[in-house]
Amino acid sequence: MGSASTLHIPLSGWGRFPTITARVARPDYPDQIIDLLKNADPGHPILARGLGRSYGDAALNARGITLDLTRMNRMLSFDDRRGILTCEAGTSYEEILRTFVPRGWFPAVTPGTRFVTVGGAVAHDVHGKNHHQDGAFSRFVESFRLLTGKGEIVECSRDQNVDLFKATLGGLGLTGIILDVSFRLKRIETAFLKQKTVRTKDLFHTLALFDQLDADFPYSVAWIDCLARGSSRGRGVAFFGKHSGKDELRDPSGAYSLTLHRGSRLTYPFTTPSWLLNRFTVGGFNRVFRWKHPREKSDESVHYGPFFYPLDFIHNWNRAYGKRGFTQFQCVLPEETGRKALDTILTATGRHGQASFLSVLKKMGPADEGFLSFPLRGFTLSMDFPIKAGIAKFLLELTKVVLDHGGRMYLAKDATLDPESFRKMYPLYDNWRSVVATVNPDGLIRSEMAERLQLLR
Amino acid sequence: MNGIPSSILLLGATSSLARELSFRFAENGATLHLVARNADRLNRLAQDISVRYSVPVSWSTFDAEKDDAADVFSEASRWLGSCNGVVACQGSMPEAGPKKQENSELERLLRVNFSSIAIVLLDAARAFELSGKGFIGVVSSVAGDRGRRNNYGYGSAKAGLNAYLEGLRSRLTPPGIQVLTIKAGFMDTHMTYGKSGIFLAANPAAVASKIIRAIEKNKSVIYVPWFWRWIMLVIRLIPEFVFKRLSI
Repeated sequence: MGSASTLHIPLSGWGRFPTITARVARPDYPDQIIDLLKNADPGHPILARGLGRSYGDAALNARGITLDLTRMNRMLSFDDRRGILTCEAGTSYEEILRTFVPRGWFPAVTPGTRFVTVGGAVAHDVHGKNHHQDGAFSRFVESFRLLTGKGEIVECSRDQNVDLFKATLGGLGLTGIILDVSFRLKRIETAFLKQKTVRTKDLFHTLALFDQLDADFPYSVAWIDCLARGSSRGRGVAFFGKHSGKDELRDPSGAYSLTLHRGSRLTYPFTTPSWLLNRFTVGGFNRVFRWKHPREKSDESVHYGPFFYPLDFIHNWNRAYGKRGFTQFQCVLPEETGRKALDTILTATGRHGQASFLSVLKKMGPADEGFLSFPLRGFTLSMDFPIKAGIAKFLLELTKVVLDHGGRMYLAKDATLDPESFRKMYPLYDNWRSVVATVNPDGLIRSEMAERLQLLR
Repeated sequence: MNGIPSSILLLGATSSLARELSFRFAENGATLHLVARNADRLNRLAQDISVRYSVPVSWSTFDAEKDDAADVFSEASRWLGSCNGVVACQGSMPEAGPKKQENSELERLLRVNFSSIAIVLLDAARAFELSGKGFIGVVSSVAGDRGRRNNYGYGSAKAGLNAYLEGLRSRLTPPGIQVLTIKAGFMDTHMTYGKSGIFLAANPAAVASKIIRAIEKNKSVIYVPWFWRWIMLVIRLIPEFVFKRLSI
């Protein structure tokens, strides 16, 4: 095949911070990926990249070649008895939804955007609104084929190459290039969900609702106003959902029961200055959002599009955060210390006025199989902060709260964590490291995040 | 409105555009037979189409450089039962500029981009004349509109192909068989990725949609994207004594 054609382009994560210039190749087939790996050396490592929805530097490689795998998106087989789909790693949730919703199947675990690839879903072991009942994406992965840093194609599952399986789930793409993945979809009767919304008056009200309703609703999430101060901190709106059966829809013929989501033509047209997002505008927005929702509403029928993917409605919404971009702070706090930690964090955000639209709070179930998988039984809180003066110090303060309470940060969102804190947060790092030492010994696969967190030392 | 053919032979099936076209055809319920060089890639593509659209897909390998093009249509017809559409997406750009080309490279270009396709289409034309229905679509290039210093090996092959299609169209108009020439500009595929001098490369899925519309509207020649029609018109109007001095 000869040396690959590459483009030199600026790349960043979804937070548009940091930005690097990368050399990008776009292979269409696995044999081209193997060639690219053959031409790599420790000074010119490679890294796989999907749709670039991780926020920080997990999919950035400034030194060698970045592999844009979005053209490796073929579906290879589907077992319609057990719902197991096998597809190439560049296949997106968007395509999976379009192909399978009309046939009555849905991803068992979906993140908050449909513009992610299956490879990315494995590499970050993504979770959704149903972690408290169903766990993370890895729970539904049967197997995958991996091209290791040593150039071997290996099949990994719970029966074969188990340690490599667990090291790759949430493994940030550093064990090798994931070629294809087999995973289970779940059956749905309709494309709609039954939703209950409750306006909450403070953090404890929100947490109490989770306790009360989580057993009945597989999907739950609370949008909270992290700028609210005093006794109102942590107030917001809580949403609970479950898939609707055919008989629960108003349309008796069921003719529209499995309609697809509508693609959106709306796009945030250009980058707006970051000063537009400040305590007053964002605080105002948060208040209006909360006010517009009734105190309590049950049995509302909602299409899966707006329920799972509200932000996908506006393409490039990340431009609202200005040229300097933003960083997302997502942590998980263990159940025992969680309430107190959340309270501390929300007090801090209220006081500092670092503006975040609609922060998200979810309940999580027990930890997943990947050595570096993020979830813990407890609570996960996500907030966006525009990059501004004072943000680095503030993030350090919040990170310390997380560490002190035995929690950890989600690497799919992270751009600022330090290696020492990372090690403390992920006690299974050594297990991960010893697997990586066998499959990627020369660091032929590497990322800016791996460099920053010293993952491959 | 013309219908989409129901039994289609696709040459050069493993190209990005062919893949998008096969999705559109499969969406319309067509049975497909895919032809290309690489068996592994054909297999992957066939699986991809059948998982997404649940239509029958068969494939066979054919290397335009070495194999006999005269066998292709008859083999495809055996797989498909009866073929009523041929779409050629096969093509190969030169490895280096014309001055550096060996004779064998020139021969290869002419064969892959022109003569092998023409032979398959001859067989198709005979069969379609007999049955009274059929469709022929060929993805050609704007490069065929005028021979340029930098690209005349490939350009002349496409020019020959375009003229051949004009003749075929004339022959097949009485029985009412559509012959569509698709003159594509740059497309965003493996062929152009990372190469310099590429501008306004079109998305293959968008091009495929345009082609489907052209089939439905019974068009003869389309330029995709549309602006190439005007760019090539200007190029063609430049008098030869000027053009021969240009270094494009």
